Amino acid sequence: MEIQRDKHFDEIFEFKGKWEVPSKCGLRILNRRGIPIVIATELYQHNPGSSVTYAGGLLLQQICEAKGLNVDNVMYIECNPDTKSRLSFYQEEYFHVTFENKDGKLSNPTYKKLTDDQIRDLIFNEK
Amino acid sequence: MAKRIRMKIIYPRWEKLKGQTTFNLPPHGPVVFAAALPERVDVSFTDENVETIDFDEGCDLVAISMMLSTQVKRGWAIAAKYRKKGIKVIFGGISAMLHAEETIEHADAVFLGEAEGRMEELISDWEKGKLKKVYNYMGQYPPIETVGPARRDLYKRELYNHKGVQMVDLFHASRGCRFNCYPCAVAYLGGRVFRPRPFDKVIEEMAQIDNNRLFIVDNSLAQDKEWEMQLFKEIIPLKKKWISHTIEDDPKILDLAAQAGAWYVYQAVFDTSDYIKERIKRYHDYGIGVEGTVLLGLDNQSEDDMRRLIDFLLEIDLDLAEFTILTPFPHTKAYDDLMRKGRITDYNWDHYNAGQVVYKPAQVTPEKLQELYEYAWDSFYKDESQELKMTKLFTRVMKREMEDGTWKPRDRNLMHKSFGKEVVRTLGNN
Repeated sequence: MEIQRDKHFDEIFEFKGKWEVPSKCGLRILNRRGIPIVIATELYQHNPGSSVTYAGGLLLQQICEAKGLNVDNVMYIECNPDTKSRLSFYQEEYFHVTFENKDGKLSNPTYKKLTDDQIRDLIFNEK
Repeated sequence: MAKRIRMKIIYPRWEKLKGQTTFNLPPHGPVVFAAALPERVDVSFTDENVETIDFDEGCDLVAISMMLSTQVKRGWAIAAKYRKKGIKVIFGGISAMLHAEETIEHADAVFLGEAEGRMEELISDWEKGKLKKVYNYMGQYPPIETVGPARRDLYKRELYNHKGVQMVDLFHASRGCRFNCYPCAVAYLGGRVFRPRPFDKVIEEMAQIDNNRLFIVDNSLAQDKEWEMQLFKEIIPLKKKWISHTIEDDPKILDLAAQAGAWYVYQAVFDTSDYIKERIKRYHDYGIGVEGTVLLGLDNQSEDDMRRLIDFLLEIDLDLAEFTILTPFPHTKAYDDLMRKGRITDYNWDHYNAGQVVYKPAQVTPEKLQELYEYAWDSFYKDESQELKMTKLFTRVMKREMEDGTWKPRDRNLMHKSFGKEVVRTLGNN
């Protein structure tokens, strides 16, 4: 299964997942209305370690450290492309994820699924 | 001379699914782990599914090996008893990895990853009184040639015997899996890279097993065609009979598998297509039996879809079927998808037995899904009981063994025992 690079991400970001397992995700950082939008895309078979969802705040912290961003000042979006496998029945989905920041540790994620309009507007700038 | 260390390895009990066979197979993980221990460690092994733990048996160190999520809470309770006595407890195995954060709270040490080449460090630390809380080897795989042979000498063989018939021995020829199946955590546990063991090691270990019937527990044998064909060619002279997960759907490979002793396979049945029907037929054409594994509760399944799927199983001549309810085990895509949507309703790991609904299904109520699950077991085995279907499979393998001279009569000394317990015989067909 290949995830369309042009559509989903600009670079492969390597991170340490749960228990420091070497992991990878697709990464795109956009700037919309002065706020950095961080989009982490799950790579499934091409990710040898923790999923983007399971890594959660751990991943966002590493992205922000690597890119010089302030975790409290970004909009974080998780993208889970359609796996297109025989058992796949989910369309591609984007979630806006927020975390509780407790002493610098991001935990208790809250997920809000983006509507098609929000995806077009925020991610593809088509509005 | 180094002081001997007495380690007790414990495999916690769990409740079987309602419809599942009551057969207890000798667990594989604990004896693979035991093979990785330094020579100065003397090991005793207790499988709580077939015997009671003797908490008074002397030991220096306890290792709790867990495979299923339904074992973790029992594992923690066992650990608490030993820790109260001042005996250190380490945890390892698949479900220790899946539930690591919680298990740490109940352990003196948790070992994450594969044990080969790593146990000297852990034992030395214990000897120095410097056991670490976590030995983290996740994602760091030892050289595959260092694996095995498993310490099957630790089994109390008579406990894995039903009325004189020895249960199959578990065996693995590879680790890792290149597939990324929706409900499976194998990619997280063993990596996405298929890692075959060297053929000479595989054959050497297989030949040593004092059992003609095996369960090759590799995640899927259909990982690499060349490897699969070579594996079967190497196995042929051993005349073993074996069960496995999926075999590649290729006439040449199926033919070799049959020659190598393929007895029956676990094959996922996920829809009512002609493809599935043909797939089952092709196994049968080569004399390989099929146990269909059927997952209920996927988001694309309506009540009608599930009923159709259950009815379809009766049409496709399956030898056995096993039904499970979708369960969002940690580190699976199912978990991620359901968790993000707030659909996981139950985090009690005792309920993660794949026979209980622990999430909000998409198209039916949890109660309806539970009902369909019960209906599936009942309807599949309505006309012919599971015991009878199993007997037919046994008859088939016995015939093949008689033909190639490997058949052994059942152990008459154990005719009245089932997994260590006296068989209660009733008159009539009840």
